[in-house]
Amino acid sequence: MDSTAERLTGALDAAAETVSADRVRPLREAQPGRRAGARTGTRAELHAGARTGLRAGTRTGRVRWSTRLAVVAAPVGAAVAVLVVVAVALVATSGRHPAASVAKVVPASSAGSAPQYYAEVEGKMYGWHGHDSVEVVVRSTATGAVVARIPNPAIANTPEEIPISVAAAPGDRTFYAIYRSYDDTKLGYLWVYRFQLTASGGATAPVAVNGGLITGQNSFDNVGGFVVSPDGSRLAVAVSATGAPTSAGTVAGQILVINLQTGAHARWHGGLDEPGLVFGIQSLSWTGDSKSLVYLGQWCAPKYISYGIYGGFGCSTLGGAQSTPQAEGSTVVRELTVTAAGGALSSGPVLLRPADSAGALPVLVTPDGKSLITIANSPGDGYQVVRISITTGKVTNVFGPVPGSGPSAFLGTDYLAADSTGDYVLVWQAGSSAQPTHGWVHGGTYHQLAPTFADHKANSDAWIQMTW
Amino acid sequence: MTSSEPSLTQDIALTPDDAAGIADLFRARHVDLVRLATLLVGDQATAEDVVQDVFTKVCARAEQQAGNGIALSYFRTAVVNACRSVHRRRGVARRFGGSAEAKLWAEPAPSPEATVLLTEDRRQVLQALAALPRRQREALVLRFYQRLTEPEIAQTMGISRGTVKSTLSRGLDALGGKLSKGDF
Repeated sequence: MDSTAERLTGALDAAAETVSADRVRPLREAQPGRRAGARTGTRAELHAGARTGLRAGTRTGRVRWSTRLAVVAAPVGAAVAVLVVVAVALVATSGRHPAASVAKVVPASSAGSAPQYYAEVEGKMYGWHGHDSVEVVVRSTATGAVVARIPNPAIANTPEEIPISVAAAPGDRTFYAIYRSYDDTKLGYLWVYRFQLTASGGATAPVAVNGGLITGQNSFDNVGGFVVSPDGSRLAVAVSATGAPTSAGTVAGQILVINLQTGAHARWHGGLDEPGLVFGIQSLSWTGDSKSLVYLGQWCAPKYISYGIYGGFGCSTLGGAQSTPQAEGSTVVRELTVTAAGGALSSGPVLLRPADSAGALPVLVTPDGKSLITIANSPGDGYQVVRISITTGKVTNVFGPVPGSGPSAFLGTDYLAADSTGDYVLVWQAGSSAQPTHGWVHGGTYHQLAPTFADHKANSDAWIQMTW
Repeated sequence: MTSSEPSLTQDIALTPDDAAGIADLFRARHVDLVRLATLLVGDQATAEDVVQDVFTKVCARAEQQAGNGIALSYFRTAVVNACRSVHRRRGVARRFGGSAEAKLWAEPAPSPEATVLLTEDRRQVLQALAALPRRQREALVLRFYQRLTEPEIAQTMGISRGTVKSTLSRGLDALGGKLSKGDF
């Protein structure tokens, strides 16, 4: 190869590398039979949408091609479809407004379909700090069939590592997983890895992420949330206080944002400490523009803390040998503007102040940043996944019921994860085996997902964390 | 159950049973196709649009194609053809004073990745490449980025093998000439 060809090859390879998989705008779904000529607008229009709101709202590219039309039509459709039936009490009050009651609504119908795949951390748990068998698995939403099993990475000088959490990145094919170690010499370390689904029906081996080593964690290694920004550029994780082996360091009380391009870390901590109480974070989600994070924080007296499965914690009288545990502590939902410098957890506004009796029910922000997705206990209807307007505090949509959600709902073991559109929500109870809440909700219906293991009840096997 | 990511240059025979399978196969090659389009049109944003358009067309025709067997070259050819359309549209836009997206080799670099990866020498090579006639540019990208053989390039571009050979030869000569003169 002569020098011109060599220079050309080098330049082309380098130029191709500038197109990072994490930053490629996801494909929008094309409706069968719809021709490309139906594309509306000029190139300038398409870019405006793709680079701002549209991109933010299509994190995994599963929104149908008619997104532009849907954006216009949705408010009208919703106004027609949503029928206010009766007002009911909801165990939440808004932080931005005084409204204390909400309206029960009939679920609005919505076009689209559930994401094709979900990934979850699945475990065969044989004992706390025992030799559990836990792995990341990608499955088909429709059939539950395993698409790929991700082998735990081989980390140098770390003989046993297990995944804690997995997060879907834009593009429908890329995932991040965070691992911890059982090795006593590696307590307090977390590692972030990335893997991708392949055309051949498998997955790439997990690859260490630049900046993905997190040190100084408490030995419990609690992770209170693990989410990739909709633009794929950053990853946020709620971690424990660093270098503080006290009760305050045993729960995830800080938010760490990793820049996936540079590996740089930004940390949010402090500003909400109260004497004698531990402040921990339970839910974490990005707004669609990738500029803000919304988190659920909880203040809890150390004696009321109980730990979830590999992450999260509950605050209740469970540890006090009471037959009917009661929720303890108080919670708040706040927003943070993400900057390179980090800051205080108190730097953003309060979005919601759930009632103390509700416990730490999970909360997500919708892609448009205007609503929250959470679990509410409505008299007569039980626990339901609902969408609440941040502005009005009213329920604007019911995604579906949460079967099996009962007393444990306030123990910090219930979780939610929404897809890129905010229309399809995974709901599960970590470690649940007797009451296998393990499904997704949309349009007023709960869809049970396939069991992780055929004999999951007998062996106390369980799913731990999910994403799509 | 793991496997390494197959290279885009592997022209594996794809024989999905249904239309959804074709779309899945396209998705699996999405990033690689955006990279190819970026090298042909010069900027990622336009390349993403090109590939999205191709995806829409592929899906529209998927029901007819399902079961017939589709090769990766089908997607590649569609992207190359769509990039040609972009250049035609740009030609019209330039006549009416329209402006194009910032190119990969522009100063300042259009992305942090470009800043890091594209040295001055590489930017010059890309500029010189962009100044070549369309056919030479396509052939060189398919040969030296995709590492396609001459028959594969012929199939993708819809020209004869002999034309591929001469186009590559002339293209390399022209590129070398531009680089030596700084004529780009």
